[in-house]
Amino acid sequence: MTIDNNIIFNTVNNGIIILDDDLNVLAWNKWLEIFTKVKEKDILGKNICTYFPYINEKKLKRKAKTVLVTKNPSYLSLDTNRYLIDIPVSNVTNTIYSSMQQDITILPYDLEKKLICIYIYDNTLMCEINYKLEKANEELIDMSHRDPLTQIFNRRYFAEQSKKIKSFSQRNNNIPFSIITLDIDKFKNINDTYGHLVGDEVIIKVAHIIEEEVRTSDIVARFGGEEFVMLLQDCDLNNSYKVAEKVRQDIAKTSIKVHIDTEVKFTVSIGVAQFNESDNNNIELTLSRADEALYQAKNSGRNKTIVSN
Amino acid sequence: MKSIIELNEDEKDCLQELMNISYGAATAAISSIIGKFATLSIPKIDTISSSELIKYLEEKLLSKNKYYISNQLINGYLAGENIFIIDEVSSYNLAREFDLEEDEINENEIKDIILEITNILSSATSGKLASLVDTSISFSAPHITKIESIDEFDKRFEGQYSQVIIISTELNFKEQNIQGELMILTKKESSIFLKKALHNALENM
Repeated sequence: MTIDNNIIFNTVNNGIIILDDDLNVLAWNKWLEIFTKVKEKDILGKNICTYFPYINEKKLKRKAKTVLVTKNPSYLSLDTNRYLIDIPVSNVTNTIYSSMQQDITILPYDLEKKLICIYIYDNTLMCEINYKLEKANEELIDMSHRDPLTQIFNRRYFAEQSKKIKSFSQRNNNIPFSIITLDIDKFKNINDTYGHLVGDEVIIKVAHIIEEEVRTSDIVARFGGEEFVMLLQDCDLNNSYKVAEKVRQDIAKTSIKVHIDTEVKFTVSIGVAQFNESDNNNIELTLSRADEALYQAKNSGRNKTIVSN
Repeated sequence: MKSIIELNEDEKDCLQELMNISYGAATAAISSIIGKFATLSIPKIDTISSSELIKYLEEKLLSKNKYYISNQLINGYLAGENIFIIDEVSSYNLAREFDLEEDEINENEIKDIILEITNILSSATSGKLASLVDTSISFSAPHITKIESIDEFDKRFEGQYSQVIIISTELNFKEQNIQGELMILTKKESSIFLKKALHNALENM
């Protein structure tokens, strides 16, 4: 069986392969000769999966069958397959991909003879641009989620994540989760006595201590000023109280050196609440209850943890 | 749920009948490709506005944890987009029906098979509607994502399309049922063509 090559076939800026239903190559255009360095005469009549053993034969056969049965195109998506034929990227402007990123379209070519046609499009440049955009976007999103001083999360991120955690809990037999609010005691005095730079150091130190005490799955956020909030997943009131107490005690033991002979010590007050039915499915109410407990701690002498029942 | 372009009872019946035929053809194709007998439950059809789509998906995501969502652009007079949505368990079962061994099943293979099914259902349904108005359409390569929260769903669908036709069905194999929904998102201009397609079909019935 011979396939007539023509000008379009050999000048088009993408790869074209014609295969029979056993995946033997019947045509291989000039573009492929240039990029793969495989001459048409050397591959004609050979099984493409034998020639390129990394091609998933089972999948390609299924695709071939699909296009012949449905008489419609099928695709190998870049979402799941980076390429059909591994072609090293030689373009000097490319810095990310070592192999050409290919969009593949498979078409019925001759239904009677059960022939299929494969188009290979070079999508490397577009993939590279997308990759860089995605990375830049991720960085922007991350920046918009973080508090610039402490680098822990901000209130906006906390609000987004708390909704997800609430949904997850509800989908999984109401796995308990709790909110801890924390405020640095007499923070204004620290600022007034030692200056804002020392105040900032205290805030950063508190943020680091909290982060060390919670799990990576928990959310720690600075809500502004000297106020922090933690959301502990899969954690009931008792265990949350233990975590809060550990944080409070660790902070009380800490100090910041401001001069050779001067150290600043500071304490925190903490409120704890577990999300429950009384919150009417509104996590803001859980947060309010934790806040109320925090103010009780403040009003009853500070450097305390109070739980909301 | 209210759609922007209302379909009267005759049009709805006609759409149901056309989708029955299209899905029948799609099932026959799937059976032939994987060499197994499969049947499809009579598809349940609903139409909503695209602004209601997010709410609809949000409710679905509450009942099950994770969904794969594949989407495929349709080009031509019936321009729009098809979305196929399938839960994680059904996706795994689908991969098994495609004769993938346990050690062959991975995220990419599952996605590939869902993309294949999307492609088959898209061409069967939208292709059928296009043939009724004597127009040609083409499809872009489908894309797929896995989501576990509505926040991960691409919100662009909300403003771009006027109407969503939801076709819910169950693909039944000998040992298991696989549930999935195809959503045909149409623009205002394409919705007018859709109505025309239904009228042409009604005249020929």
